[in-house]
Amino acid sequence: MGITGFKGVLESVSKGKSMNRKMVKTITLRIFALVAVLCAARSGRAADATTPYPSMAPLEQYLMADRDAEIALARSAAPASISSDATVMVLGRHGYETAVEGKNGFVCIVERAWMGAFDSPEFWNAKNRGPSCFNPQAARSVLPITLKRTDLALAGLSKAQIMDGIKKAFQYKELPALEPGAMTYMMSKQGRLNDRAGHWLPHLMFYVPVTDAMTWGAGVPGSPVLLNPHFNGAPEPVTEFMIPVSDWSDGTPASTDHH
Amino acid sequence: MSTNRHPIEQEELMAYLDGELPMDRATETLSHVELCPECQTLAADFRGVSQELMAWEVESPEVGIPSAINVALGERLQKREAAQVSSPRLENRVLTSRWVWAGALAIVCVAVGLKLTLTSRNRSEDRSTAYPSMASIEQYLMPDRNAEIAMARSAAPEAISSDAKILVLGWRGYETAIEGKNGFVCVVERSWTSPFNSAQFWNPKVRGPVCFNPAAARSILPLTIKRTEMVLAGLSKAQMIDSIKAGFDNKELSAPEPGAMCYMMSRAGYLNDAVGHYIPHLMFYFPPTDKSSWGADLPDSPVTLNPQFQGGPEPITEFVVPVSKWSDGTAAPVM
Repeated sequence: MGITGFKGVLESVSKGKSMNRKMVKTITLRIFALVAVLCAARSGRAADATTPYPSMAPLEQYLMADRDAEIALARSAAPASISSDATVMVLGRHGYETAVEGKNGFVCIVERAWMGAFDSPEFWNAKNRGPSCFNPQAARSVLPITLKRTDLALAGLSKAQIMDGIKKAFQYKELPALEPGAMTYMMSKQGRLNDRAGHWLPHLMFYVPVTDAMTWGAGVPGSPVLLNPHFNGAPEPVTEFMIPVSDWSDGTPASTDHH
Repeated sequence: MSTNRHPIEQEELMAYLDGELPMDRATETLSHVELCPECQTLAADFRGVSQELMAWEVESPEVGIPSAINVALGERLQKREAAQVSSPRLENRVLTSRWVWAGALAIVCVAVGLKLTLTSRNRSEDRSTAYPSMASIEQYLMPDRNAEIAMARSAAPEAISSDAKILVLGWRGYETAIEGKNGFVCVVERSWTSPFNSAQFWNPKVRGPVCFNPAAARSILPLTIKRTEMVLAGLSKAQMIDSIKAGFDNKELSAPEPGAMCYMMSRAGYLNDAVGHYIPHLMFYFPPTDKSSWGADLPDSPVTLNPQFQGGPEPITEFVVPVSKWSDGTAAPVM
């Protein structure tokens, strides 16, 4: 109901000569009650109402039909000297599955939008593709978070339910503690991290137990270190720092001016 | 130098410079030298002589020299016998004989060579470098304290280093020049934080501006401070290695804290003769880790392994990631 319609109802009610004052009062109160309910319902979806991705799209939109293309995209996260010997996982209807067994301990995958921060307006953006190659420490202690979030998302859970599921998984030690030296390569120029940044910059990501951004000098003027907000204790007990590097995984130079 | 005025003998000062004094006596010696201009001059003289001797290449004696000496001695005997009859000026003739001088010189050379071999047995690895031993302490110090503070701060962007604690190098080690408030600590490291087998280990020109983050300030900076104190106390490399091992064994030194890292983004630094100020970069510290787990040193990888601690004695692995700009925001060359 729009503002104009609302005024119209009030005018017709107040001008109606056949209605007595009690009836007018009752109708007016009901209208105000209806408006209040509508406002309350509207505020409950405020986070999603500002985004074109208010809820999960059909699963098919998150999947890549060409398995080989997904393998290639996953490998593009790191130089071939790393990714060619990595395990590669691809997203299926029931979660990630191993497509290629590796031998150097790295694991490369293409992450989807639900790996963003829970308050991100692009949390359900079906177009996002985030190629990542986890080093062995991250493959053991950070990749399980991706797999868990993915399982919960594919099970049709809401954001709140996914968040609750992650909290419980850490609480019950279903998810492992962070290993020292966990880091990830994200150097793909074919990725699409979100609508605004596109493939963004080639960068490395470093995981540490939850800490203040300033302990790494992250986000201050002139610093090459940035804080990735997507974990940071909400709910995963992990802080993730990013450092842009000069070249894409294929060796071509990237401009690092706009970060 | 008299023990009436100086609590150390000249011989002890020489032993100190050679890294042969026990730690406690070396510390006492350093404490005195720091306050004694006369001793500082003497130490500089000793070091100068030592460096000249170290740089003096003694050629191997020729095979024919012993026989030449025999011939010379035989001739000398014959001449002396003849002189005992014909000449009253034997001493002059002996002293002017070139064979005698050649023989004597050969003996001196062999003796000096033997002495150098013995005294430098711990420095044999240094013979191939321009920096075979420690230079005078003055060459490592920066006389302008403010210049050292500025250089230390240049390791990180101003937003970080302006609130950092600053240490500067003094006669006895690093000392706090400015207290900080963000947990970072910036220092200018010297050459002895290089690997112990580095040819640049004693290069007095090296200046490595570093800003350690709080985790590294607690767990990595103590290594820099300890190495520095031992160097200034005159310990040999072997003694330093032993002491660092002992430091980790008795928990005086600790493993890297999670998240330990540092900034090295100064264009004013001089990391060694080969690379100069190198490129701006960040460094990350871990317990011993295989470099392949970070993809370090592989083709097209931006990660490299820093050999600073690799191979000991510190049980630390250090990875380097270059960044695109110097701390002042200007663009750096791409490696």
